[in-house]
Amino acid sequence: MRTEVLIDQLTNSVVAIPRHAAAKRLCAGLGLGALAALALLIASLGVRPDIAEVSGTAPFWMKWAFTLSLGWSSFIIVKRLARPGGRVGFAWWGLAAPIGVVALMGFGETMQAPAALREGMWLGRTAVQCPIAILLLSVPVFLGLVWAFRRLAPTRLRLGGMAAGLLAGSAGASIYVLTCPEHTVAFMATWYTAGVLAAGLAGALAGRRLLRW
Amino acid sequence: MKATEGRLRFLMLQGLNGDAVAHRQLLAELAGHLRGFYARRLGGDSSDAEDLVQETLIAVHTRRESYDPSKPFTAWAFAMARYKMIDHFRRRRMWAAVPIEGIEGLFATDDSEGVTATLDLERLMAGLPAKQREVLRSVKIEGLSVAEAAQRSGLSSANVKVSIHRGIKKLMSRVREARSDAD
Repeated sequence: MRTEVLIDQLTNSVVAIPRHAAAKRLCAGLGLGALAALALLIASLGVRPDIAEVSGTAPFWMKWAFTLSLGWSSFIIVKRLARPGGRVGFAWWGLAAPIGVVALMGFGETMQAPAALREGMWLGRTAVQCPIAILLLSVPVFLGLVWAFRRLAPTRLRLGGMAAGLLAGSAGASIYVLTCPEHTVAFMATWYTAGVLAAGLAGALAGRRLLRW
Repeated sequence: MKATEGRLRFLMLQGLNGDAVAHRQLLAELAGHLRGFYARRLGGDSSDAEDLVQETLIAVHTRRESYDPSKPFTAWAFAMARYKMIDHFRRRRMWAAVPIEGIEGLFATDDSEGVTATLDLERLMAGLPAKQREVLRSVKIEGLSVAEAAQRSGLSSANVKVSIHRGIKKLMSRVREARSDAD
């Protein structure tokens, strides 16, 4: 096809692009994916039955503060990498800082406890379930973000995929909080982080294929 | 350059507001710039270059939401064009690698020099650290400039130069080793 003809076809109907279109599209993909993940959680593990009581307690809000701050930081990184030539720069610290803080808090909490209780505080009852569930819950969110990327232009696919995976993992972890029976910082610092990082790794691996354009 | 930026950015912003005439004009002018850009880099292979021009125009059109109106337009368009070029090389190499491996399996005794040279190079390169392999490939095989390779890999220009130097040194010593093994 001649290039002039192609240009004619492309510009046949030109729609206006609203302001902040990229952020809005990412939010749409994130929101739809998160809804699907929530449905998945309700259909499988279910929300913990005593949610009304625990929703007033500190451990519950601490978990959300952690997962939502990871989500916020990875959203900023995703937004940058969704543009061609986007650079992340200092935004990585937004992820490292909350992880560092909860790691220190968890370590302090464990050291203050009697030695006999330490392993139980760290492993809880759901150390295996937690990261796997977070990884699985991140899948629909990741697919929502891949959909959003179809109109955006990431040029560093592996990095973009990793950031999308971390965001999806953070969203998955925020939803997992609704079912999570654990209450120690040490547990959260280890197993929540493991789930989110696993989602980031999976995103990096999938990114090269799924984000290509 | 500054005049081009101002003009294209204006057209882009008008296009984002739904002005089809401005958007059409933008793509037409961009096509001219892209044609020169790809022709210089692909060395006159005009059908490939024109394909890339069209692919990039489609991407510019369908992915214009990714343009941040507060940033320079030319940098955005350049990043898109460069991505398409890198993707083109990547695709071609993969495409070329499949039949070569097939031929090697089928005609193991065939001593076709071109094929063995490619395979030897790939095998030698495979032993290098990822960073050195990446920049050597960018600069010595794909023919990017040091500055472009630096931008692609996220390393500094000095770092790229050092990596090329070390990579070549390592390749040479490997070739010497292989020769003395063969003797």
